[in-house]
Amino acid sequence: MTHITDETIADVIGTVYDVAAGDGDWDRVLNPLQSLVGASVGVIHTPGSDNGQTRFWGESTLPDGALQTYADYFYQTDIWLAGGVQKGFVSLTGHVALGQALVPWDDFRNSEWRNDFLHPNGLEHLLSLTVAGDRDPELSPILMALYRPPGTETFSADSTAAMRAIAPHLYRAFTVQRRLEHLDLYTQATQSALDRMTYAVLVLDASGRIVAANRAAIVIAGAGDGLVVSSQGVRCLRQTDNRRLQQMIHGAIATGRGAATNAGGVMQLMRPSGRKPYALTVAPLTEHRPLFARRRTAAIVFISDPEDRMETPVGLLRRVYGLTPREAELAAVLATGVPLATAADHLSMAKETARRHLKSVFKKTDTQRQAELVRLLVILPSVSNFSKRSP
Amino acid sequence: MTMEAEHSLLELIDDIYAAAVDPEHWGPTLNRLATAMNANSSAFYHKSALLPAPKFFGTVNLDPDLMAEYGAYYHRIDPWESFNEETPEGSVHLTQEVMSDREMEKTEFYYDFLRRVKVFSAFGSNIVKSESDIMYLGFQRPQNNEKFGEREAAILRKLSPHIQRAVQIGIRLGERDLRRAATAEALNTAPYGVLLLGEMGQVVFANRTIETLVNDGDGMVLAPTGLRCERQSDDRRLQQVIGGAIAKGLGAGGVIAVPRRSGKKPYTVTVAPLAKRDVLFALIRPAAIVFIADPEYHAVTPADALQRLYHLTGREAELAMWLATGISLDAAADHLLMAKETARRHLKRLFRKTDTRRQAELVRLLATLPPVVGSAEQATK
Repeated sequence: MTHITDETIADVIGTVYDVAAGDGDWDRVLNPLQSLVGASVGVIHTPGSDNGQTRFWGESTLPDGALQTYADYFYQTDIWLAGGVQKGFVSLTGHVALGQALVPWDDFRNSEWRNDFLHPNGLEHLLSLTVAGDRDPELSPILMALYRPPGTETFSADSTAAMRAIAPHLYRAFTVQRRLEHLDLYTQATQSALDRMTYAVLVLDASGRIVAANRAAIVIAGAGDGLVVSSQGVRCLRQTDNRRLQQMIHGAIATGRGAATNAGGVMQLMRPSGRKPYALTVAPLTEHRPLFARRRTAAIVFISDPEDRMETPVGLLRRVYGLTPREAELAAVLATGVPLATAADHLSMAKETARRHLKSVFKKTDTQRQAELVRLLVILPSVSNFSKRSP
Repeated sequence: MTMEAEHSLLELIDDIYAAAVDPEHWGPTLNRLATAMNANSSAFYHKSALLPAPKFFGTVNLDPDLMAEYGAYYHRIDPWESFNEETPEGSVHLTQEVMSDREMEKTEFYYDFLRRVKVFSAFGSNIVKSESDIMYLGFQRPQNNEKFGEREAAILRKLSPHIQRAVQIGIRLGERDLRRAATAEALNTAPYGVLLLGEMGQVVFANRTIETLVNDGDGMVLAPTGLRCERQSDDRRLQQVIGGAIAKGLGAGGVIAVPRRSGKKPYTVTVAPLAKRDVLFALIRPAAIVFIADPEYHAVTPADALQRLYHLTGREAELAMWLATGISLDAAADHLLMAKETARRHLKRLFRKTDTRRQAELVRLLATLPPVVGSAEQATK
């Protein structure tokens, strides 16, 4: 058992934050903590409720199967937990209690809990901590239990004091992990939404490097058709184009810092493949710089590819405008900007039939001309399965 | 190890880790550290190849204007700084190791700067050091005070791993937050509304365009409980699609048209599910994305941007801007008080410059242009 001093407590606290900053492997916290207070076994758990079983965050040196039998059955016999709940300790974040404070010796001595679960698993004494109470607004109740075997003395006063010193750090560590998960969750969701945008979006930092990009941007990057996208940022292959692009980007970044008002701009980008040039715009972005982030959001780049097929999903046209299947097919082809005759040929449709369908489509979409129809269809956000888009 | 009675090791560690999750806390934390070291002043800063000047996380008792001067110029001639760039992460050094008092008094740095800042002896440590970044924490005392010694160095040595961890947690939270903010800000530029809904249909994120689109209750309303249609029949359909997307996950979702009281073209509301993810913590999980397009609202690329993009003349650009809305050439010419024949000539040149052959093709090209941010105009009909 480690001698309990401020230094050794500080070392355990350090490990708590190592885990918080890392992968949240709470088992790694239990070992040094057990050494500190002389516990043979440690468990971190959230008690089960109507919604489900006991949830284990970490455990150390429990015999195999013990957790399972606890979750399956013995949680019902856990009089320490029941005592803690009844006395309100489970609601007090930071509360430290020994087993004897939860249940009197006379009730404990012959209990099923002690004789059928604790002893067979080599446990006798408890030192418990409410890491997060059940009224905590952010965290579900999280309890830590440390045990000593039969034939040993109960935990010392120094041990309970050490736990009290470490408690707020454990709490904070869990809130860090929660915040990281929350940020992850929301970034994933907004990224999904970005990925459904039809044009490419790239967010740059003050050095021009990429902070975020959507799927359309990755497709254009992969094509390498006049544009090179790397960890260093966005570049054009052609020198003249690149000079203009970097100028626009620097202008946007400087505007964000308040250093210039020449905010970004627009340009066409020629492509070695001979395809229609990309249209590219750059704009300053509201600066967001968290204190320790080494970068800040500074500029946003949009790129559209006029040759992007961007099929308007036929199902969408039918559902939204009540078009018949053939009408929807015709509308989808016309959305690409081709003349009616070409569309009719493409769909093996007689010209007269096509003209009839078009009249109906105009009526149902409240448009009067093909140009108007094209515009309407193109600005519907394309949210069909992305893999259907042609490269 | 002895310390000031008021600042035990564990109390200082408490302060340090409080700052890890709340950057505002670095000020008070540094204050207490400075007191524990019996220092007159303190500074914690970040130097990086990517930063134009050293950035201060916090200072104690140092004039901000003088610190700005330090960042702008004096750090380059600071002899302690060049010494410090060579020391490894975590090691603590006293400035008397760098040069003697007499040598220091001969430097420009002392003469022009230190004397004004009332600093003469100092000690500190590179809390974090990598190829590109240095985060340095230092404590200072004025001239004619006792210099820092082994006592203070020992305290810092004990604390520095903790300060390092606190900084790294701050960095991790900061970088994740940056990515979140970047994606959210990018969504704000979309010409259609984007909502994220939680598992109960409640709105957990709304982009800026939503405010322009869904207001005045013209068929749809954004309530705390979620997105609702004014008409019951429409609302039933909407809630069904939303409910389906949330419950079934990938593969569910759908599109509906929501008519508007004003008689304008209906909104197109698209609901897409988000992949279900196991979460460790009780968080409101975004469960569905909702896109709201208003066919009558679409960012029109302004004439000057079109000019630059396709090398158009002013008149050609104006004509293009009108044609982009889908109206006939004649109607556009009327709007611009242009003769029909002139309009036809301009259109021919437009076709040539944009490499299109028909009005429908031109409209499609213009409608697929990326946003020119800061110029969203409502399409006119």
